Amino acid sequence: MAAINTAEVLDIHTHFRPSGWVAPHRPAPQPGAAPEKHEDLDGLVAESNELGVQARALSATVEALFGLEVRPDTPTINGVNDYLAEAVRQRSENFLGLATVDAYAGEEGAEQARYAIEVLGLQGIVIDSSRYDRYLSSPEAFPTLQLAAEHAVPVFVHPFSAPQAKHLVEIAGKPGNSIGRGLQNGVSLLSALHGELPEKLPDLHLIFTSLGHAAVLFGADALAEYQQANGVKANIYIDTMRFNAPLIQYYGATLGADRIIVGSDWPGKDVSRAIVDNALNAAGFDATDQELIRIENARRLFSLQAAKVGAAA
Amino acid sequence: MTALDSADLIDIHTHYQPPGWIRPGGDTSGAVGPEVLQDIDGLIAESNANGVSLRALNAPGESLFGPATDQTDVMDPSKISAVNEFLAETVEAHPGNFVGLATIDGYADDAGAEQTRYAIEELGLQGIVLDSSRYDRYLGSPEAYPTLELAAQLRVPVFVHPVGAPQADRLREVAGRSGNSVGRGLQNAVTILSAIDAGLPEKLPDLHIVFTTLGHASLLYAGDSLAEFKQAHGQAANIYIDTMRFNAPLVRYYGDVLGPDRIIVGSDWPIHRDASRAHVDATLTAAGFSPADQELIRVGNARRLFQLRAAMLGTAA
Repeated sequence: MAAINTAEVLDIHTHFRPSGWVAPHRPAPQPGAAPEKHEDLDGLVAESNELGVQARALSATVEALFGLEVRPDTPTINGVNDYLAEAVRQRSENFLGLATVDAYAGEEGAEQARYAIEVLGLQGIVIDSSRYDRYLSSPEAFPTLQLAAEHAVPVFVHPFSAPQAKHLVEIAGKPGNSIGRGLQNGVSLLSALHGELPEKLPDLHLIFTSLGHAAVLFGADALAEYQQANGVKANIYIDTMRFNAPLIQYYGATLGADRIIVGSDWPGKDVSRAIVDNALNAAGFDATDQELIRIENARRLFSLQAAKVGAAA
Repeated sequence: MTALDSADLIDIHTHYQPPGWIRPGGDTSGAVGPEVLQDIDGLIAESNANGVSLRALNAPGESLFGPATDQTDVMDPSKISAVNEFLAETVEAHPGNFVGLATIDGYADDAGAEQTRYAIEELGLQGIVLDSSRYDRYLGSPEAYPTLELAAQLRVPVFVHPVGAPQADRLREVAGRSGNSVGRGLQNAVTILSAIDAGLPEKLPDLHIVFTTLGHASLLYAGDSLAEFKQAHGQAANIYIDTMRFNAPLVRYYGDVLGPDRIIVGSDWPIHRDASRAHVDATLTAAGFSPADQELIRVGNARRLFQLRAAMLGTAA
């Protein structure tokens, strides 16, 4: 895990795609076409080093790889994670890997997570906010989340298309799609609280994205009650996607600087050390809190598994 | 001096219900019962005790007629007229306590405009309230344009209230009450995005739209468009947000994104009975607003909106 030891910035929201991947819900690329940006991992290494983002947690969601409705089989998921593990092994100075897991597939999801963490040595998992009309509080998700908690690896919860996405785009353009994806991400957070996952799985660490930020308001009471009852904050984090300084300041005032992690949504959105510093300065964070958000919170999360293994040894 | 001139605190998000009102179908579900929503004298006493000088009373279509997904759930125009006549009588009886936002079926094309004309020109009400969406239509839909165009011509504000999301039942199942809230927020947010996408700030520069904190997620996605509008026109779009839930860090966020001249106190009474001068002051102070900006948010912005029509007509409000 060399990447996390020396990095000054970690971007937890960076996407990749296995080279040559043909998604069932998208047309196949033209023969001879150049690889898309998120298939070019050497290019990503160069870009990251140039822009001062030394470490990235790579992820490819089930939605991105398989579309909205396909139930991917476990061998195919394992194949994606084999590719990711090898990519991370070859570029361990820059990358960590969040394994693709179909969290709403019951025990199958847990088995995918087990293989990725125990056999491949990946450092966390990425799951869709919802799938098959199931959310984090659904019984089908519990085996995966339980396994992630047992291994003390972080779970990155990625936005997912809203059921009415097509209509939202018709009436509000591209922002309509984004806010629908944000709804799914936010509901997933609220679903986790409603399902009392922080109480049931205290070692579960969930990271949501800025698209779901509306849930911070609606989940505020439950989060405050949890903190009062348990003496510690719930392990619920949010990323900095879009680097909106006033919004990150709001996260700081409500969730705290120790619950914010840099995440960009690359390759859809740019990130650099300058972008991060500018946003955190404008949001009014002091140097200590900036370091938490830029690297230390992520470093802590990705060190939990090793600490747990060490404690058990 | 009018009540608007002398008010120290205006709450733009206060609900009521006409006496004896029963929803079509007899549905009486709701977070608060009619004994509170219909008790105007009790509301006056509570407002006086808490230093809320003036409230903009409103009864959104969804609260009176239930949700609607198609035109078979149309709001009965004669009942809308009766509701607004009751509201006008209430405001006339208590001019020192209330202004009135007329209930309008904003997605009923020319019929919505006629309801608006009657409520403003004949009944003398001070603004209108619309559901965020109805019949699967939003502010940017053609069916909403006649109402919005007339509201702009008459120089009255349009309060856009949240409604349940199509998947509200499922959201409640998976996330409880907050799931319902985030779904209502989606509808409130999407309608603001649809207004911007349809170019309403450009087409109707005298249209003043007030939406609620439930829809605050729209600000992240609308930020670029609103900034472009401001740069192109030299002033901010006439889109306002209320302070529902009085979350100081969130109100601070509104100040940074929209500016203090686009924030208006609104509580969602009686769902939330937390509007008081002390609570408003504590929230705005915690949010870091200067005394001048606090006055804008507390009373100045609402006063300006409710005096636009009088200014156009050249009469005292």
